[in-house]
Amino acid sequence: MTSGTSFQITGYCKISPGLVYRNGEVVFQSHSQSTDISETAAEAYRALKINYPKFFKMDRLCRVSYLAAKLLLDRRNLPLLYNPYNVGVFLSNTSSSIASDLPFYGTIRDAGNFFPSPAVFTYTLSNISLGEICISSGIKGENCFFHHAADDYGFFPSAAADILHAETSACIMGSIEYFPPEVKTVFPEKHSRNHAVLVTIEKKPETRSGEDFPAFTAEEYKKIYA
Amino acid sequence: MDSKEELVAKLKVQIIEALKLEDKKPEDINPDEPLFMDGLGLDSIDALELIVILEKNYGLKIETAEEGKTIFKTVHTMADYIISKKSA
Repeated sequence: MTSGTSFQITGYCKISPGLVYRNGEVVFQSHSQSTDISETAAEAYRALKINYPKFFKMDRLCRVSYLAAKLLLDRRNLPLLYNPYNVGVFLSNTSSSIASDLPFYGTIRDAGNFFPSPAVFTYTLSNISLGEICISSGIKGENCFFHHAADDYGFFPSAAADILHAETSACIMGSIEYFPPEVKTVFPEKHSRNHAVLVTIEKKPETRSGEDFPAFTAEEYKKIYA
Repeated sequence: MDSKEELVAKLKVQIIEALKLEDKKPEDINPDEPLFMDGLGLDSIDALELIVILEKNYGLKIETAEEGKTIFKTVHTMADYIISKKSA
């Protein structure tokens, strides 16, 4: 455990419908009216000319996760800056992998048309997105995906000291909440955000002149998260 | 029954849809190119989806892994298998 260890926020990426931000700058802006962040992620992927052969084979939660992590790591390549075994990934949301769970259920709910899709089934766990980030980036450290009953931006800043092992030097951490429009029609009572907010946090980041990284506190994270 | 050409065209669409090859169009798939490794670069999960395509759309069950290796070599070999089973 790393009680008392302070991490600093060395970068952030935020994906919301139609917009992708990194460290305060707009990386991509969509002209479509889509409210689906996976469509924003796919548009950004094409516009930024990213070439990852697996991108469109991943489910939509993983596409968003992959893109946010990739944009962060393009600026702070944690598995190169540190021992990749000491770099972790910790994500959270309230809607788990519902965007793949429902399509999978669609392949099995009719006994007369029972054809479970292996490709969809693969993504019926939100922690697959951790694997996709690790596989694509070379991160080999600890990882975990938390599910919360309600949106909780304060969880990671307050829990980081307890959940991270002492040897973990840096992490990708944050919320990947993917609750697409068609799921909202099935669960109209659930009010969920539709965004990705990831940060890179590091224990002792190397700084260039002029860089001043804020501490990873709930107050600082809220500024990004809000 | 569909001609082989029609069947190949259908299979390409079904493969793109089932395997979520969103960046591919039917014309991008060479029916003589290997589906796995160098060609379309499919993986083991995709192999399972190909089995589902045959079962769901053509009522055909692959009995052994060895059989699958031959059938799923290319889109043409898939079409040949479907035609042979349907005309048997």
